This record gives sequence, C-alpha cells and structure tokens, in this order.
Amino acid sequence: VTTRRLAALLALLELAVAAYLEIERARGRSVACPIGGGGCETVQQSRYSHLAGIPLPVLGLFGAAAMLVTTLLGDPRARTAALVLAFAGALFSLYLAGLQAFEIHAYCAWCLTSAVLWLALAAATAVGWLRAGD
Amino acid sequence: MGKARKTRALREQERRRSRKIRMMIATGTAVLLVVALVVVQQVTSSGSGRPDTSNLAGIADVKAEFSGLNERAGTIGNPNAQVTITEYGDLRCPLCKTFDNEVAPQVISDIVRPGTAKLQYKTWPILGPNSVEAAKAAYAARQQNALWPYASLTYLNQGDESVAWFTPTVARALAKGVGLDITRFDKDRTSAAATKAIAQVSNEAQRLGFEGTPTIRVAGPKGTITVNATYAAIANGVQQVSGSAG
Repeated sequence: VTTRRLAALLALLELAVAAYLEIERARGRSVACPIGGGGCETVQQSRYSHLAGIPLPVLGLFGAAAMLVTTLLGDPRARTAALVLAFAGALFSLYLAGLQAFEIHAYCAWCLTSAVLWLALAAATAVGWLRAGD
Repeated sequence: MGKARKTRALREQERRRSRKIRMMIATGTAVLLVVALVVVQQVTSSGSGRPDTSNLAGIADVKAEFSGLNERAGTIGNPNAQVTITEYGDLRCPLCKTFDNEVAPQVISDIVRPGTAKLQYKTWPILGPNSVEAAKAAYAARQQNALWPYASLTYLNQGDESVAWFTPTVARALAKGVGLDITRFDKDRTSAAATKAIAQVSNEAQRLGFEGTPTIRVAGPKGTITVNATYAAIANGVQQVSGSAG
C-alpha cells in the first residue's frame, strides 16, 4: 500500500512537471530555469524536443496519466502495466538525459527532475510489484 | 503432512518462477518500447542544423520588409511616436524566429508604418555562448542602423539551437546579405562596447524579471506593460498605453 501511494504521488508530480512544460511551450514561452543558465530553453527548443512531431511534454503527460491510472487500479494486470510503463519511462528519461549531456550540451532542470521522478517511479513500482506477490 | 509441505513448497517455487518470467517480460517490453521511441526520435530529428551561407534565404524579402523604414539605435518607425514596442530577443531562439516570421511583419505594416508606435529590438542572449556571439553581431549591425534587417535575415536562416551555428562566417554572410560595411562590422562585433551593451540589456531583463525570449514590452504615456508575443496582444497593449497620461 505504501509503495502504491508513493508511486501515485510520484506520478502526480510527474504529471505536474509535464503539464507545466507543455503549458509554457503552448503559450510560446520558455520555462523558468532556476539552474543551468538558459539550458531549459536550449533543450526545449532543440531538435530532440519532439517525437514524430509530438512535443515530449505531451508524451510525458500521457505517460504520467497512464501511470497514475494503472497505479490506482491496483489489480495484478494494472500492476504489470504500471511496471512496463515505469521501466519504459525511466529508460527513456535516461536516454533524454544522455542527449542533454552528449548531444545538446545543455541541461534542463525540469527534464532532469522528470528523469529522477521516473527512476523513482520504476523503483517504487518494482518494489510494489514484488511485494504484491502476484 | 510432509507431502503437503512439499506441495506448498513446489507451488511457491512455481509462483516465484512465473513471477520472474513476468518481470522479465515486463522489462523486455519496456526495453522494446524505448528502443522504438529512440529510433523514431532519431529518424525524425536528423539534419545538419546549420545555415547555408552560400545561399542565404530571404535577402529580397528582408529588403522589401524594411524599405523606407529608417532605423536609429535599433528602433524603426516614427521617432515621434508616443508608444514604443520593445522586443527582447535572442537570434538563436526558435520562438523569436516564429515571432519575427509570423507576428513582426503585421506589427510593422499595421502599427509601425502608420506611425502609431515605433519598434525597438534589444538583443538578450539567453542560449549560451553562441547566442552571445550572435548578439555581438546584432550590436555591430545596430551601429550601422541595420539591426532589424540583420535580425530578420538571421531568423530566416536560423540553424538548429542545439548546434553552435552562429560562426564568424555566418555573421559576415548575413552582414553582406543586408549590405553592411564588413570591415566596420567586424570591428564593432569584436569591440568591448558590444560586450558592454549586451550586459546592459541582460541586466535590464533580469531586473525586470523576464523569463525568456521573446519578451514584448509596450511603453507609452499611460505606462509600460509586458504583453504576449501575438499581434492581438501587442495591438491591445498599444491601445492601453496610448493617449495622454493621467
């Protein structure tokens, strides 16, 4: 129960981060970038900011929403779906962090926050899945 | 009794095995999903991301857009206009390119040319050292009263933001494109005055709490406001600050 609550909270936080990034992007504004000296905009506007025309924050929104729903449902199938989602989210976030380091040469604090949230989600979901003993 | 325990142990073993397999399937599915996402992203994001200096786009369009508009200190339009629209932009910022391509032409034709307001450009480099290079070039173009055409031509040929595309070759090609004196351009671009002018704008933007580029400010007798980077918001802002004060 504890890991499920934790996962739901993390999914909610990820939903908030993705929503903020998407709202600012849709408004045509760059996000507030507390660290990294303009790195957020560099990353946000780089050629890696979209996936087949879909802005990455939109993908994050869908991912986080699906994560929240599967976490809250809590039956064995939903738990397995949550596990796949969380692992995929964590791996893709690591890939995006790699792009920031080696391709874009700029860091976006919001994107790194999102990566940390996905890694935590993967850990919490995996522990929850193992504990449930389906 | 012993048999029941053995059966329970076997069942538990089977359950663990099945769980392990499902964990592996889940991990494998996640990996496959991510591989597919990465492939799609890599395929759809290719390109060199640098402008073609041997064949700059839009030289004639830029000449036409600014013909007959005198520029002084980075400002175009009626110098006696009571309202000033100021854009804080970065030449490497894609949103500024969108603004310059899609919004600025209408602002110029409907608000600046009739003399309702004058339009000022302030270069605020926020995208790293390569943006500072671009801002220095913009300063040098400003010294020859051609900041607006220089900025517009740059936006039309803008490279990928993740690439340090604003090289001295690009800077000079763009300067030639708008007919600048190249010797003077290079001298101004590398001067200490350029660095100082950029620092002044950056300090101003930070003091005013701007979050990014483009930021549009409209100043007139009734005050100064920050508006969204759309034509409707700017036109509305101009109306709000127009008229006699008080």
